[in-house]
Amino acid sequence: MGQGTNGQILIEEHFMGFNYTGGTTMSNTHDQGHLVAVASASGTITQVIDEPGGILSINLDTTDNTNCVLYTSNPFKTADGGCWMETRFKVDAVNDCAIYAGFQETVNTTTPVMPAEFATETMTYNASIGGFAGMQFDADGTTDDWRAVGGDNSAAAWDADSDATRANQPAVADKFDIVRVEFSPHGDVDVYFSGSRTNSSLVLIKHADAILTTTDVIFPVLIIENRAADAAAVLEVDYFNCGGYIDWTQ
Amino acid sequence: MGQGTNGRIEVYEHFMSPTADSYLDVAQRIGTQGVMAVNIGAPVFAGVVDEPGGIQSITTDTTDNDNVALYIGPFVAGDGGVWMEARLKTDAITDNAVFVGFTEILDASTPVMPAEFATESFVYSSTGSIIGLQFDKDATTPDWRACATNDQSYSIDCDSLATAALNPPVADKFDVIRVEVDPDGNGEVWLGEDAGALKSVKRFTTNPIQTTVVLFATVMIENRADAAAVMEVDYFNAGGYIDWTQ
Repeated sequence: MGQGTNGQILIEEHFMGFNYTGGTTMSNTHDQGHLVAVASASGTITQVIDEPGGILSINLDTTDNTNCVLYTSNPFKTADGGCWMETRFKVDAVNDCAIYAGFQETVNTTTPVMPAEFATETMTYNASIGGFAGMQFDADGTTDDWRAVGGDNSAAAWDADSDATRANQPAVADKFDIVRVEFSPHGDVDVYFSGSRTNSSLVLIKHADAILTTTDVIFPVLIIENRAADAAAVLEVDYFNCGGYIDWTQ
Repeated sequence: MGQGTNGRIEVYEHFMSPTADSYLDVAQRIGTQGVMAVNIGAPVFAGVVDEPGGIQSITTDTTDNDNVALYIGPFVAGDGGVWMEARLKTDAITDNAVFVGFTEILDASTPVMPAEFATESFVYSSTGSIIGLQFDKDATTPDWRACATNDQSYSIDCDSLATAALNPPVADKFDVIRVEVDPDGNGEVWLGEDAGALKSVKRFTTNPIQTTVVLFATVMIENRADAAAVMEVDYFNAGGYIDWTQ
């Protein structure tokens, strides 16, 4: 195959341009700049303008387990040169939602599925996702915390204990957190986190070797899921950046 | 709060895929990169294909004071400074007013020109912080004028309420306007007329811009006659920094 002059794919989405009019019902796929948003049920997408830098607000429906995923509609492949994603976001409350930020192999574009869920003391890895790695927070956990998780087809990729790898920095309502996930061309992964409780730069939470099949495609995603039956969880996203390389072999 | 790896926010819109629409009934994205548009009246948005580089054509409705505002943002100057730059032209200079710069107040349903110049009187229409370059055909002496204010009190280092560039726009000739606001609230307004390089029209040194308020980079045209005014925008770029403190 031939090769062009620029093999890098870079997306920087700060949500400076809102694509829909004053609150959009999100019962199906929506274009949000370079990204796509898909929700399992109705809710609304709005733009926040009282804080600088462009902020997208995702307001879920009020039913338990309704969710919304923000992702690039086309995937990356680690073997092409690696890939990365970084996103900054916050929730309005930490007692009514679960969050996942990272990569996953399969995105259900009709009824999105959380790659990993943490209830009481047990992390469940959903088989329909394929390979994945990222950070996860779940209000259903007995001990609230951000956790670095990775897996493939329902099997945990690291830490056989049920806690995955804790950041020891639980989410705080209305305070921004940052998640960055990097895959090497060999399928190695680094999961970074910068929590609102510190003034630190990104900190490595987990490194793991070769957790993915390097020729599998993976999507950068940010998912919020409702964990309450009668309240709407709200996610505000400041930016969602990601990058990878062209597959010159195709 | 924590910080990520890249604090810079930049929007570069060259309108290579310009919007073609009869009008926008509420604020909505145009182009592809993050420029929003809102209007009064029923303007027409169209692409221009007989000139290179991507050009967004905007034709206002025909009633006096109908307008269209393009905007990017908001940004906060205190986060590390902000800048915007746009290249634009109008089909005539006898039927419109134009503002290019930053404004704190941007009504996303009925936009208001931040600054207007009628006869010999310069008026800051909006409250809040404003800095930019303004042209108004209602002036006795048409010219581009650099202006800055906070809450309609004129910047004390601004001559005669605004600073004339002594370089009025010419019909169907592109001008480039660049506005920078420093983290301390000072700012500078630049103009590159026709094919000339950017030259500073005015540097404001008395901190006229509030450093903690949100600012929208704005390109706005308003009708000054009972005929449609036409503006063509070659590019509209703006940048700032993430507010890590939120």
